[in-house]
Amino acid sequence: MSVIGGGPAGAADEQPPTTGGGAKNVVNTGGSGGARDVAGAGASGGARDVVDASAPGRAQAAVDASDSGAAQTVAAARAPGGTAAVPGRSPTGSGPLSAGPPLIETGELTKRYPKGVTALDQLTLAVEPGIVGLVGANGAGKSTLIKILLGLVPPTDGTAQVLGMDCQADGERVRARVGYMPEHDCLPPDVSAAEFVTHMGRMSGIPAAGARERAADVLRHVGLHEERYRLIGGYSTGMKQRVKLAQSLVHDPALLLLDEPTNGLDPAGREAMLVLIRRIGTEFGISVLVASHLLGEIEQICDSLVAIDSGRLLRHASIASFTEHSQVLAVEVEEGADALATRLTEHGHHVTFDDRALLLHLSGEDLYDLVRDLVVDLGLRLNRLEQRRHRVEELFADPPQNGEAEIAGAHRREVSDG
Amino acid sequence: MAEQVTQPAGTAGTAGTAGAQPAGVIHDIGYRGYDGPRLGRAYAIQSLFTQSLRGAWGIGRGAKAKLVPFGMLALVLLPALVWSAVGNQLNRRLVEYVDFPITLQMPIIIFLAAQSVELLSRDLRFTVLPLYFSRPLRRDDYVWAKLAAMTAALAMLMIAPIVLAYLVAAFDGNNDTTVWDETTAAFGGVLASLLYAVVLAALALVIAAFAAKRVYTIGAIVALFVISSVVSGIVEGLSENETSELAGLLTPFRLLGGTFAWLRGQQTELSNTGGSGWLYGLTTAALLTLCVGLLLARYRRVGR
Repeated sequence: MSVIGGGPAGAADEQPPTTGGGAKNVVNTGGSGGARDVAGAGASGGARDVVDASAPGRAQAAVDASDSGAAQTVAAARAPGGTAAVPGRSPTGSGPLSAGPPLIETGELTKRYPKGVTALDQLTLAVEPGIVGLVGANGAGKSTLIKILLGLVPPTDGTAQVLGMDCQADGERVRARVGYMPEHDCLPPDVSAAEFVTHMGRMSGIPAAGARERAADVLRHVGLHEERYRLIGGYSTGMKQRVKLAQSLVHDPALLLLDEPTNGLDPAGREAMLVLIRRIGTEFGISVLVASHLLGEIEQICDSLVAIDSGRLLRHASIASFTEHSQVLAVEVEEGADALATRLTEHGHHVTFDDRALLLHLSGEDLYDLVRDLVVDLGLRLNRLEQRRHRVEELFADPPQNGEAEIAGAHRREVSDG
Repeated sequence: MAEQVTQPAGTAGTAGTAGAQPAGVIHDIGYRGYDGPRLGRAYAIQSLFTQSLRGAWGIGRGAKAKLVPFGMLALVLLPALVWSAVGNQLNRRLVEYVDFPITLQMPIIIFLAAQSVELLSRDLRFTVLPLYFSRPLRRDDYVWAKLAAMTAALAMLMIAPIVLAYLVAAFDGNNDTTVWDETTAAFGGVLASLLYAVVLAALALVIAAFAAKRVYTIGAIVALFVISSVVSGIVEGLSENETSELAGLLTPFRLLGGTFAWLRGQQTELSNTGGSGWLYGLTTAALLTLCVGLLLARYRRVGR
């Protein structure tokens, strides 16, 4: 997370690398409640392997990571997730779903539109339950994939399965168990949110009384309380976005398909929406496929990532596998970055540039010393020296050699972060 | 979201189990799944029908939404009451029950135009359709449910004055006609209303399905009826006896009146088809098929 300002190198050393990034975020950004929430969500991505056990264990793991107040904040942030996980609804990754077929499975999935546009090109995927990011530039085929998964658009070739059901042959059963939040506006202005979400619940086959109750429940969960009785026409963009999310949740789906859920939101609204999606994936125990062209967002909330470009699979891997192989040291000096880069290269380090910072693969702790010595030698002014995770953009540009990553096609192509 | 932060950090270590939270903390009961029945597609269609029928009458909406439907209801009930009351005094029916729809066509047209827009254009204009079609409901189901709802709403509007007039006429002591006569005549009117309702609903919904702008759609539907009625009148005036019988084919209300007369085997002054009743029947069947076909085709493409 690049929001961290000037974190001392020592802070990272005190903690195991997996939880380190997250806990550090909390320390440095803990000023505002909203930011802390997101940091907590981010931490769970890194700490996933450790905390997937039972709820008390989860809280404990975070405390073990450090005895500073920071870890307690993490634990506090995670605790509701832990309690919700106890009565049967396991968190993603260890839920009942993982025993069965993959969440989403496609085989050589191809979609060509009549005008010669190839939206999907032999896409083969097997996605496990959890929060899955679907990233790609606009027009990469994200929406087409979602519509095929819903059984709304027939593929030209290949197969698609959701929850073990064929999307074409079993479309109705798939749609009964899947929630969909479209990218565009889809709400009539002249009804209240409560009434609209109730209606959509009934459209999913939930009896009237149950639908009313579910609508009230999910609207509360997305943060609409008394406002839900007002007409949707008077809502802000953020509130409308929450109603869209609520209608996709009303029938308690096993999988949510969210198409650009942060579209049109301001930064605070984006953050709140991301926290909400993270909660749905962890506390609610509902798997989520979230399509976005903003990689920075996906990084915060997802367990794994699917990157597509021009309908082809660029890469599919878990966030955890990225973080394990992606310790990065960012060095920012006032002038003479090129000279520093040259010297570092002489010492056998691969240097890449990110805006003003030099990025180094963090091979060991002696790298800090080396950078310090070189900066002193060259007489440079050091503005920043921080350890950080690869941003996802870089990961797609330069994938690690090992790990569970499947690498297909032109993996060096950049996916733009709009 | 806010709930996460409200937990004091001090209790974090033990907060893993529910109940360890101290008093005074906002309790988030957490997400509950849904274990109740899932009734599926048939229930969804039925719910959409009910919701649309209520919507057509403005029920469950604001007072403004009730203005047109109930205003038009008043406009069809009032004449019916007058005809019936006056008819009782004169000892004859001023307007035959089967001719009620054609006689009361103006309020019916306005209801039809405004409420088809309410039923279809709204979902098109605000692109609500993807939310429906990402559920077990099929595209055809949506069309059938909306068509049924509009038919039902229209039938209610047309049958209400018949029922009112019947009650006034049948249970008035001064009247010479028997209750039985009155009942069979009124029943004929109800059947005619059903025929009108189905075909008019399909016709108006097709127009509403292709136009997303509210005002244009209402205008287009009203214009269709008014213009076709004028054209039909002109053709009738210009033509000789035999061809004038065919003028009714050109405007929906006279077409339907003629069709019902042909089905019933009994013409009235307002449904004069001459010997070509079968042509009216055929035209009506073709029109209905065309409209339903267009509707289904339209909804197979729209809202992807």
